Amino acid sequence: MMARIASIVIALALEATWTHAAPARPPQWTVVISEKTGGGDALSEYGTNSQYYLIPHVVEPLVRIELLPNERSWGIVPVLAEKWSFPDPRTFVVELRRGIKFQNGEELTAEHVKAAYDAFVFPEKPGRRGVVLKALGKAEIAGKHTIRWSLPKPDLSVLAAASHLLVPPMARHTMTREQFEARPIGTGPYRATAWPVDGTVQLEAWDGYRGGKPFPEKLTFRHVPEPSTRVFELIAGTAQVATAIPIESLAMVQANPKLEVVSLTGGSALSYVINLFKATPPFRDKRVRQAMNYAVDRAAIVKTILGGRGAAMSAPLWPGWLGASDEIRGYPYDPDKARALLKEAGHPNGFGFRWTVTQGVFVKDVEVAQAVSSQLTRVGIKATVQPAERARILAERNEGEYDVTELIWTMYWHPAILLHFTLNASFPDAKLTPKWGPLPPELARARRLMSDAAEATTVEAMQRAYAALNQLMHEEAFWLFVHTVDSLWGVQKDIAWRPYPAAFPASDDYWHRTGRKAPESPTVPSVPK
Amino acid sequence: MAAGLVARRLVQAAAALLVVLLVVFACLLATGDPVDLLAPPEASERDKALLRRAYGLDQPVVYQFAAFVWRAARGDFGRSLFSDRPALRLVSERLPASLELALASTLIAVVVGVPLGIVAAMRRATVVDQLVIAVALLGQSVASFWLALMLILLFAVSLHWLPVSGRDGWASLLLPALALSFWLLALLARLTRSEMLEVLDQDYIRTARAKGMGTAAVVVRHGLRNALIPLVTVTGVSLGWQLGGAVVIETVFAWPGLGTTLLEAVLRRDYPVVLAGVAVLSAVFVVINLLVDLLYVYIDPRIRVGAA
Amino acid sequence: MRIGRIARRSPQLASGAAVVLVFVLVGTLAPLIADHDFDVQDLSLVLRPPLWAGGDLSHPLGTDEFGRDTLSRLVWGARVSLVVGFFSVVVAGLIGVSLGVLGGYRGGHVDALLMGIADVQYSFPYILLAIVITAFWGAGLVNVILALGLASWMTFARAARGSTLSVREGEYVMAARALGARPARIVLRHVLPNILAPLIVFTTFQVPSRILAEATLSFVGLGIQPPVPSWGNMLAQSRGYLLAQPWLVALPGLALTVVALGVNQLGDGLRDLLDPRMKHHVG
Repeated sequence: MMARIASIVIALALEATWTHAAPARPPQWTVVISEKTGGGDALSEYGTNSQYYLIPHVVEPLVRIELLPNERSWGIVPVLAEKWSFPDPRTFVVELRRGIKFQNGEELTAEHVKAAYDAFVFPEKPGRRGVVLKALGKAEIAGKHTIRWSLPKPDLSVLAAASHLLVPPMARHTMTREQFEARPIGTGPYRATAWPVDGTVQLEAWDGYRGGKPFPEKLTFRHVPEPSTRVFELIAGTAQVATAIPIESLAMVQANPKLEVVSLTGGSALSYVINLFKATPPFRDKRVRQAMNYAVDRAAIVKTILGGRGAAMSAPLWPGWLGASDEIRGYPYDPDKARALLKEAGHPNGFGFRWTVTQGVFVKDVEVAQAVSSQLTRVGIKATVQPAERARILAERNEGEYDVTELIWTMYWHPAILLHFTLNASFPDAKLTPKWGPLPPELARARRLMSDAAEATTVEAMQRAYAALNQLMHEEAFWLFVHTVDSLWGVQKDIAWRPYPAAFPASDDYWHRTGRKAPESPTVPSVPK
Repeated sequence: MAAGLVARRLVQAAAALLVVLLVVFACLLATGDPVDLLAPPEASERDKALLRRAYGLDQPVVYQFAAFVWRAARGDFGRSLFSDRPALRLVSERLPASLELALASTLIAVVVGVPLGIVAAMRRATVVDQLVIAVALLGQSVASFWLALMLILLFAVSLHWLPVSGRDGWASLLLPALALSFWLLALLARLTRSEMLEVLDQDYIRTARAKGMGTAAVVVRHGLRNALIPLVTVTGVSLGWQLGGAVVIETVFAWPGLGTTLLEAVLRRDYPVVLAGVAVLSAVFVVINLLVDLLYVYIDPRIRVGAA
Repeated sequence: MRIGRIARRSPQLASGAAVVLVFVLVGTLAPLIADHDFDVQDLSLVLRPPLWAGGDLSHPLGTDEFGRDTLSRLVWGARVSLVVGFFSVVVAGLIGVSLGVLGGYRGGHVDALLMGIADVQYSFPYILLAIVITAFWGAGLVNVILALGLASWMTFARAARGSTLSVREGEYVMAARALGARPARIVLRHVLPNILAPLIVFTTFQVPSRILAEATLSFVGLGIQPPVPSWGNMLAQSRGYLLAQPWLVALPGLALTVVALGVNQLGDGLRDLLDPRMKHHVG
């Protein structure tokens, strides 16, 4: 039953005492990030990804999606929630931890959670968080520390959605957004001393935190858009952590004795969605799509363009996702097979297609496209790579006009959103069927599997359904699969930091259960996946 | 006369601004639906429709523009589609940083470039002259981001004299202003030199020199007077450009200016911010150009700007 | 014979013209000169150093992150960059000088309106304009040229107008007007020649600066699109390799500098030639 969800969740993080910093570790860290810092109001959107990892230092969520101790799978980790259950498929009940204090003295109760939830989901313009949280339906207070949601339909992915539910104090609801932005308050390990919107964020450790005072003492986040400049900040010693280090600068960072490169395997991925409605180019034919996949030398791309910081992929769900599997064998690099398949499909001389990609939005986006296109040419497929603005690419995708379009995704554990995006949003039936004919059977099968997964009542069943879908999409070559890429940070060695576990504090129990040695000092949940 | 000039300019600027804003508005909306970029990938068509309605994006373009103008005239440029903050405030927040950078860079360019040009002209065909020409040449053939990165490498990373990036006190202004000034510095040096050379060849100057009259001072005064019009033109133009166009410098130095804000807004079709930015920058340019024109009249009273 | 005489009198003009000519030739004959196509990748030969740093003759100037031959890409890039540089200046110059002279000469509402439009167009940097144009008509060579030209006419207009304003009140012009000459004639015979010299100096700055402007567009992702090389996009895309493989940045930069030098020499020489007052002075 639902109770078996607990098997995926790691044990409750107990209150732990902090080991104080060894004198060698600098107590003040500056982190230079690639995105704007946004603002400190948990209930507002700022149009920047950093709002998902900066604000939680101060205002915490119910749960968090995190890399589990086996360092391969991801799962849900409780933060403000203590435990949860699904008494029936359409009810989701969360028990909060007791005794959690806010930085302004308030004590966390179910009231706080409901107020936050309503503020997210019901305003006129729901932000991104609101859209995701909507799946939770209606919230009710069922006890001082208990909240119950009535889901509109059975949906286990609400577990993942709950990671978006940040809980500010009740005081927030009597303040304006600007007032809260000036002094953000939450239950988190850090207090905000300065947080001008899109400016330099200054945080200081809060000794009233339930896990004890965190380390480092002071955290500063600065937006530095140019990757080379971020690396220079590291080398000059003015930053302790730099996010999104470009591949070409890795050698420079590693060569420096004071610095190291820290990576998170499979943080995100790049592939290309093939418009399988179309007959010209001949994408309806699975052999053509498979031929394209055989023509790509993923190993060479990962090695040379990504500097080895990634892995080939051959299915939409790479290791870490719910439903990913080690058993799916990749598409090996086999240009002869590609040509044979093309010939069999009736295209011995290949064909041409148009391919829109972004430039500079994602790690090596246009470079990989160029490399792949060059490899496709060798089997006779002439791809015209067209770098374009994201706005244009999205517009084309919504109209279903693309031949092949880019798909970039970051790790999120629960694949519902990714799959909805690629199986529904990328194939607008209403626009495609008049021009190109009926729904291709493999897409219909895929969609059925997707709704099976959504209706699953246990996580195991969900996992099986997603695994089947994964296999289907792999065999039928829905995408031109290419690679995953590691998330990379440049770090001063003397801070001894790792991005995972992001849970904060790291409990003794956590490390004991996994049989591993705890790192010398706790880690900081400061940087993105 | 000056008042009449100002009044006329303002009216015409307002009219031109309106036309430009309409063009920008139409282009932005016609080339990409902001809702696509705004809505999260998990949003359904219904969510998007709701969003469209909430932002008034489902109205016809002409109506949206009219509503926009009506509000803008009262100072309300709407809210950023992405952060829901008032667009005008967002833009005004970034203006001081851009002004700081543009003014500092122009100052450096004038204070270094003009004297270099004078010296080069006075010492024509000597090594000094060649050096100045070489510097001027470099200044206009070096990519600004390369120069910026080199400056950071030298002064911040190797010598630790200055911060790498960010806006935090005077020290952090120096490198970005230097990088930004190089181009204008080179231009001013060459322009000054060439104008001075022209003056040096005038008969009356040659006569004066032949007669041994206080050459340097006379020449410089006459030369500068001659050069002032083009110098003022170029400086005014450049000051304006640096406000909105210093995107590369702002990006490399993480300088929180208007250029990067505008660029991001355009790429995301955040049209309230784009329109607010265009309006604010226009206002600043109108002021700068008015000052430049008034300077023209002051420099050369023969010029009657605006008269037929 | 005449060319010889001019060359002797103005070695500057000669050297400038020679440099420009070489680059124009290289650009035009690129398909014949270049050893490799600009988009031929070889992932087994990435980031090879140039000859003087341990490379070999098959790739004398090394290779980039895709294993593409740098020398060939520089040659192909010459063609693209020169075309962009030259034609965008032509577009800007034609529009700008016409409007600037018109405004400066006529004055009044015409002037104010034109300058109003120029003022406002300064509000959005050429990047914005480039986006608008490329969003409508797609990125590509012609659109980059149009975008850069349309975005920079104001500078020409202002310069032309400023000079026109000065000249308009000068003796010759006033005399001509007193004699009843038609405005067009006055403009052609008196105003234009007088503004030509400063404009030439100004223009010689523009070509390399347009090529660099294309680099800025590439920095932002809107310049000449890969895999087509331009010196600008080669510079922009290699900046991450600044410390590790500096030749990738240095070589296009060097090419730019040499071309800038040549164009400047040419411009200086032309000005010396055209400006009667400068007749006796060379260099």
